[in-house]
Amino acid sequence: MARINQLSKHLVNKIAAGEVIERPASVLKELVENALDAGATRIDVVIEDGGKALIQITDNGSGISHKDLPLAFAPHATSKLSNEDDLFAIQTMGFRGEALASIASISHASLHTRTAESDEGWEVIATGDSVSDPAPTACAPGTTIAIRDLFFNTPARRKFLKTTNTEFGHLTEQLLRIALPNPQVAFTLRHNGRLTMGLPASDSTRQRISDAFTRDLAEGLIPLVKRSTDTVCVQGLIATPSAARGSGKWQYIFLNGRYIRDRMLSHALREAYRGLVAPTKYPVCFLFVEVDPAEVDVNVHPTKIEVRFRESNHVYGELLATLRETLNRSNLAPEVHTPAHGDEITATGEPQSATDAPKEEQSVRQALADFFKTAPAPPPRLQFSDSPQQAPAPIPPAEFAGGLSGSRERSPFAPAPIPPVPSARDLERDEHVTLSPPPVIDTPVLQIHNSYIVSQTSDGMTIIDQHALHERLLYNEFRRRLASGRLESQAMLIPEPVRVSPDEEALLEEHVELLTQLGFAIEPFGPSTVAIQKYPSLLAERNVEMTAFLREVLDHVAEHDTPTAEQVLEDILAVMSCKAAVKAGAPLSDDEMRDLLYRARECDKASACPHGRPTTIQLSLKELEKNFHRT
Amino acid sequence: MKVIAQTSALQEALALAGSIVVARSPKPVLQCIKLVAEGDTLTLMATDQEVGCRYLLTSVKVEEPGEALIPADRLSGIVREAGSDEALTIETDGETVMVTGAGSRFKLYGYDPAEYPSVGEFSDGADFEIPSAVLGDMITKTVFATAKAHSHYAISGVLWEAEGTALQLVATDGHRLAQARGSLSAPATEAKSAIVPAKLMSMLQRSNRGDERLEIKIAGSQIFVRTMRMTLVSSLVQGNFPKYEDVIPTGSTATATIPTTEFQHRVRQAALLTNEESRGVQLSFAPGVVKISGRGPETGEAEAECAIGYSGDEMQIGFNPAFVIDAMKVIDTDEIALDLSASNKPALIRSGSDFLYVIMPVDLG
Ligand SMILES: Nc1ncnc2c1ncn2[C@@H]1O[C@H](COP(=O)(O)OP(=O)(O)O)[C@@H](O)[C@H]1O
Ligand SMILES: [Mg+2]
Repeated sequence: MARINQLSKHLVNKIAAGEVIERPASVLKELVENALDAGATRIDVVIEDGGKALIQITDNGSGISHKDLPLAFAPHATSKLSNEDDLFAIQTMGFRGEALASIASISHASLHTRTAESDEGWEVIATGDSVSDPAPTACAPGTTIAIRDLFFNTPARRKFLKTTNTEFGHLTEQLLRIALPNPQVAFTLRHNGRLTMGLPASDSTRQRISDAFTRDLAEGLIPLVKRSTDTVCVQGLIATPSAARGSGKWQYIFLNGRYIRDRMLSHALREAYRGLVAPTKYPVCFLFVEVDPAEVDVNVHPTKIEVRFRESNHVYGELLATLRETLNRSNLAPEVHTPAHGDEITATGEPQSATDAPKEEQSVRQALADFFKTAPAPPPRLQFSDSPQQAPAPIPPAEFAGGLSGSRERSPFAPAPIPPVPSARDLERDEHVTLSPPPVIDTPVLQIHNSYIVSQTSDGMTIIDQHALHERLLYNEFRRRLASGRLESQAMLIPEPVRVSPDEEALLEEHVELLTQLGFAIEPFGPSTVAIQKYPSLLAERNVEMTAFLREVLDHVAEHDTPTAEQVLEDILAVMSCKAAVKAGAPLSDDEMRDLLYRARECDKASACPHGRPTTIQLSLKELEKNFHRT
Repeated sequence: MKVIAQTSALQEALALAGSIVVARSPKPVLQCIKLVAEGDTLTLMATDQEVGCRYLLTSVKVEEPGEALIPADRLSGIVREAGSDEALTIETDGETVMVTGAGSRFKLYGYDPAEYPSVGEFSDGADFEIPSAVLGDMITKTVFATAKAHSHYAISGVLWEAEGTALQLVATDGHRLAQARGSLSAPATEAKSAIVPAKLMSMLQRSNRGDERLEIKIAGSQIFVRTMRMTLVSSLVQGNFPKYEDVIPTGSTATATIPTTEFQHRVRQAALLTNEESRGVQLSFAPGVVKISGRGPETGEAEAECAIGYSGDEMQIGFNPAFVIDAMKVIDTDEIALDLSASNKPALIRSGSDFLYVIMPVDLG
């Protein structure tokens, strides 16, 4: 590791000085990042009383040499940055050289360190503005920093600390944000003598997620398809829409290995999942964005949690494209997880027999291929006679790379050289798509409560919400139809007046072209009233009540600040398909049910209705067997 | 109350009155039929609080006048299972009702007749009179065009307009409009108009024997229709019926004379390959022939043609075939006249001198 240098005055000014320590978690962040910068492969964190009493980090990294020790607690002393150019190509976590100094100034800090080359360790005690001379001590190679009595001399700050539990929650979250992108480093976290988190070193991010959260969550994650340009590479794991949560806390976005919050990237996420999750839900994801360090300014916020991209549109576009492609290729029907007997979750995660699993998958695949070869003629009510009848493209092998424990492959998320190498990516591509088998069409179908369709699939069963699925089919169908021209529209003999606000009237006027394309003619009709002169035949056909329809559309559109044409279109199509779709409670014939299932096979995003509610629940044989204690 | 009635008479009365009673109602008394025995008649009363009926049975023997309130479906069941030449004795003991047949006895738990909502009575003279066959025909020709679901509630009913010696019925769902006229047997004392709910119209159809004289009275917010056997009463649809005169096109530029049955058949053929998202059929009019075509984006194309008389420039216009077929089904003349002015303007179908049908085109996109 480079020697510690005093930063030049100029550089000091260039770095926005900012108070970085606001609570114990901020201390933890600085110290753990230092440990990582020192090349540690194991980091043990000990907390007492939510960090108010003690925050202690022990690492097995480089240690600090005796010669450099006096500078470690000096302000603006860093070994990580020595001239201006470096500031724009930051690779390490720390670079301001102010963390240790400022932490020491508001606590009782002690540091024990030993380099691998030295037989002897050194101890330094720092409190307020005094730093002791290094004293020899016996210790293992690496560094231990203990911070006691944080804010002892700043009572105002100390008063603002929350309860022990809250502060410990922040500490845990902070450690996670660092641990997730660094699965190759082992972490432990202890609170008041109790081990609360143990993350063994691993070469897979999925394993790290499994250790940090739950195995179920980790197993259900879909790897992002790989695409990348010279300057941006997006990798990661995303959860299926059905696993979406009520808050954005489960959206982990890392930029060059550093946890960030970014409105633009969050927006890309929302866009990608739009129509797959309800607007109040946040998809769970672990995204690792790699950008050439020269393309991003991480120095806009004292804790570096916000960044500024030079080419933000490009990053946004790449992320969105990657997410969309991944979601499009995945079968997103949620699987039912019933409470497991004989809980399978173990600390290390029982490795699925790496040989058996693919074999089982293989036979399912074969069965499917056979099925499609001998597929019976589709039922006569089929709407899409152009859907392929021959065997579909072979279903790609299920994804095992990055699987739990067993994987020998290097984790796709281990810190990668930047920019990533584009070769071999395409070969791997298909391996990163999870496909579960589609429902088999000539198996029995059963309607329950005139609302749900139950059907057999090759590896279990599905339960389908008839309204939601039909809604999705119609939505896609309308989109497809629109692409080939204007929708058929029925003129009104007696135009239907609808009261609208001036904003709404302006909106209708602005999007008149779109409305025409959809088969609407809506014209001004006296003060704050418009009249529907024409509307799509398919709505007329279904006796859709037009005033209510238009109101509903306008209400949806009003949820956007300044709706784009695309948003308006989506809102209209979503309401249209909802109104036109078969209702819950409507009895369906077997043929009608099969027709729905058949069409779902050909349908994009069939797992969720246009409003984002799931259409389908999968229940696998495995799951059934588990519940009947057959395993 | 004690009354002896013939099963067959009761059956007929219950078939009609019973059809008004709502099967499921939070108020149990609304699932009942009220019996009133008085003089030498038994009156069956039923209401769903919108439409009501008083059905008079005269071939009964009233041994003790009185009232009873009995669940309609139970009474219907008992009457249905009785032999049709059997006489049934209906006798009350408080709210309990005994029904006794030739070989069966039933004890029914009824309700207090005083709890039943009142069913309006036809009092004073009629506003006008019309033969049931004439009204029945007019109903057939209009009621299909009422709106099934519409914010404009008024058009869920049929507009009745009586003036002088004629009654006119108008129905529309906002896309097409049907208008039928008929002659009154006793002229209107004054011009009357009302919007009559579809439910009453279908009650009238169901009770239509084709040879009765109907007395009609519109008073307040109700309409009364009286025959020898019964009185039907219904509340009127409130609201303003659209100004239908304004939408009946005048001044056409082309007129076709079309054979009704064949046209219906051809339109059906052309519609065979359309689908629910694009239903429209295209009609291409030229002297001597109309070509009718329809297509579905995934299904294919159909074309049919029909020989017609035609005067005017060649013209193309799209229609929802269901709207055309609906009208052809009720028209009883061999030929219709179709007036056109432009492909985006309403078309007018005329049959004889007393039926008009306006239909709005479809823009096929
Ligand atoms: N755990 C550690 N292991 C090795 N060196 C450390 C450790 N913590 C701090 N240092 C040294 O102390 C210096 C000052 O640390 P800090 O104040 O956090 O500044 P920065 O991390 O921005 O350089 C670092 O540059 C590094 O050389
Ligand atoms: Mg640091």
